[in-house]
Amino acid sequence: MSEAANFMIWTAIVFALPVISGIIYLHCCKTGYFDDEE
Amino acid sequence: MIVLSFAVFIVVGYFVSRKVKNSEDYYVMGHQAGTLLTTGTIIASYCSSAFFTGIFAMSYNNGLGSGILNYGCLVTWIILMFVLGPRVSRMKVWTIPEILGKRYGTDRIRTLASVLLIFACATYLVSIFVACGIALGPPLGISTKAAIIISGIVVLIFSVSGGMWGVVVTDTMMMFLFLAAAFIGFPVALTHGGINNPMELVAVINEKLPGTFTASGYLPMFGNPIWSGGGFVGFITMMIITSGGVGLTSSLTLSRVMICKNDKTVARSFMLAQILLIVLAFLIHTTAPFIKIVAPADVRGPSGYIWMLTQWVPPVITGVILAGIAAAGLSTASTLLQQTGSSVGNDIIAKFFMKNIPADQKDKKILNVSRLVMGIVGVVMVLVCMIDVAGDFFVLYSWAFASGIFMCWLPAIVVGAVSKKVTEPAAFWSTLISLIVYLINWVLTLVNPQVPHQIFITAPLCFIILFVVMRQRKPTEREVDGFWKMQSKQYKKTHGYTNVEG
Repeated sequence: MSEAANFMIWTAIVFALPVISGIIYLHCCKTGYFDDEE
Repeated sequence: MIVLSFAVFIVVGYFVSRKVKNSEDYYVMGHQAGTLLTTGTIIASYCSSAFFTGIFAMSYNNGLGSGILNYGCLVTWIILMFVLGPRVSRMKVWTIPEILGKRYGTDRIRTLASVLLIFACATYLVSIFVACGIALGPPLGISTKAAIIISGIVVLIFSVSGGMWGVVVTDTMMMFLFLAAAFIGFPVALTHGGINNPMELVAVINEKLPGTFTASGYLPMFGNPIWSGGGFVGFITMMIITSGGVGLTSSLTLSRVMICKNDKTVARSFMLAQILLIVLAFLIHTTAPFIKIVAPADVRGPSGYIWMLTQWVPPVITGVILAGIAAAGLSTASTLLQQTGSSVGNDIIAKFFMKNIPADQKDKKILNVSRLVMGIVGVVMVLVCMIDVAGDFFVLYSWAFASGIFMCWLPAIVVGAVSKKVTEPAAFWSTLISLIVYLINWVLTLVNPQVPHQIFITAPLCFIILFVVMRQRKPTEREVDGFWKMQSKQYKKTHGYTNVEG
């Protein structure tokens, strides 16, 4: 694999992190994980 | 424009200070911050001027890989959002040393944490003030040192008067300002350099600066020992560990968790901040090679972005962008000052010297002491910056040094939040020994550059000490109670725990 492709893959992983957070957040809301006092 | 923005921050700091009714308002906004304010303050305080100077220099000097891929905080923020953040938020504490004090139930760990916090914040402040000086000196036509003094005065005025309210409200304004900076700077950098077509420009960059658009940039990918920091793998590992530690247990992030309304706000705010940080990192770091191929050889990394602004952007817009960059530094500096002041006031003075003072008078006295400490620390650190501001990597270096200190209490806070088996001696000795080793190791690296960077020793060491010492005895009832104070209602219900409320 070329270094440029390697760089693109790592950059894609970095950009995917908020998506992972979003999925976990929705899961936590669904399961009542948060002590929601709003 | 810069002067105008400074004036606005001072005025806002003054008006916001009217909201401060008691110590709780001053330290943690009465735990009332919503998602927008929290996101604004996370981004503004986390990014700082070093983002546009010292950290930008990584992309400028080493290629895009080391700039864009080093944000370990993006990973550790996930742990913060769903594991540590909600637990800290439930404790309703004012300062980080108080988290440890409540979790483990002793004064000595709280005092040790206060000392660590003051030390880390003070050294971090040096990095921020110098970055402000680099960013503001040339465009204002004044010396770097004069710019540092002006920045110091502005920060002191709005953070001493407004407390956390002042810091957070001005932070949110600053976030919008330097988001604007990044969005304006990006197209400007990509459409200059004598070539109007960005794709043609990329081809020229590839020819002139081979390795720019690769993971390792201009650094060798391997071929150096991982601990040396000389090659890409060592350097990026050091940055990821440091940034990860800062993202999880630094005063910059945990203080933002404490102001949140509830644990859901913590998760939402950091998630939004994660998206914004990626956008900012991408927009700012990507400009580096486009500037480098055109800039004269004497333009050094930390000044690259500022050089681009002064050369290619109309003066009015440059003013807006520079105000944004200065704002980034000011907001981080105000956070650090605020944390130092509150730690000395709340965790040391109030704890040890105000035991016999009635509660109604105590609150006012703690506030006054905190404000005084902030003033003294701010002035001392500005004076320290007068000694040496010359080094090319000074900003980044002092940032990495100060950030690494936050690693020392990481296991005590994080492991202690998820395991009731962690004992007070384990947390105390893990923090103390790793802090001492960190400092000794740092001195050794100054004497011999071949010695591994202190973060490679401290990061595993603090965990090893914690796990070894916690096996020596079972946790006491007090320590276990501290653990339950951090857990959710659902967790307590599932595990049948009913003794501790809140």
